[in-house]
Amino acid sequence: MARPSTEVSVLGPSTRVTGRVTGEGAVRIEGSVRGDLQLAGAVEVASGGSVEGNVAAASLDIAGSLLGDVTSRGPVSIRSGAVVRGDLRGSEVAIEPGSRVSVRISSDFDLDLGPAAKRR
Amino acid sequence: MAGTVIGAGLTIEGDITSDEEVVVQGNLRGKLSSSDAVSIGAGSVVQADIAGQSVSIAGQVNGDVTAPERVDIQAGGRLVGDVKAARFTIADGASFKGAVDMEV
Repeated sequence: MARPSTEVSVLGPSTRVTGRVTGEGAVRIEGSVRGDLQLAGAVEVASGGSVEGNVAAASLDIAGSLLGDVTSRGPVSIRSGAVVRGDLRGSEVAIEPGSRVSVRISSDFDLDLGPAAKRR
Repeated sequence: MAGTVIGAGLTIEGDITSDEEVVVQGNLRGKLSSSDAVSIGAGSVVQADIAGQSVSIAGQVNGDVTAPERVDIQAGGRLVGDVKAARFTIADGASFKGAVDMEV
């Protein structure tokens, strides 16, 4: 079996995990995870995949379903067809049309109101 | 390409069940059960009971291993726990402590 050059973990479509997932590297979830994920790398919840738990990751890409709070150091992308419920914290959050989303978003960035606002 | 790969940097504390091939390169504490082949890669540390169609061990495993087909401990692999399988091999350079039940 050829190992991928980058360290990517894959939880296949029939794989169910109940418990905590922690560590380095990226994870692609095609199956289901019931529990918290705490990862240094990127997390992808593929279409058909589901997560029931809190997620902390470098970035998060959701095409499946996610029920839980998210803390992401990088961007959070919610793809068409995704179902997401919880609090989202990310550097930026993108929500595609066709996703069902019930979230509270906290995104930290500097709002540049331009010179007119600065004069006041 | 295996259906499920637990990469080298990953730790899972809990239960994993699957119907596809599972490759563990990282760490696992809990339970692992698949109706397909399970392989525990070199460098991985597993504290879990393992059930698979066949189980191949090249890393460190603490736990009981059950497979209807076969269990193989590869060179460098280490298993502390009981084995229940129709076929069982221990490669030269592997270590094993436990009981064996070949259902005879």
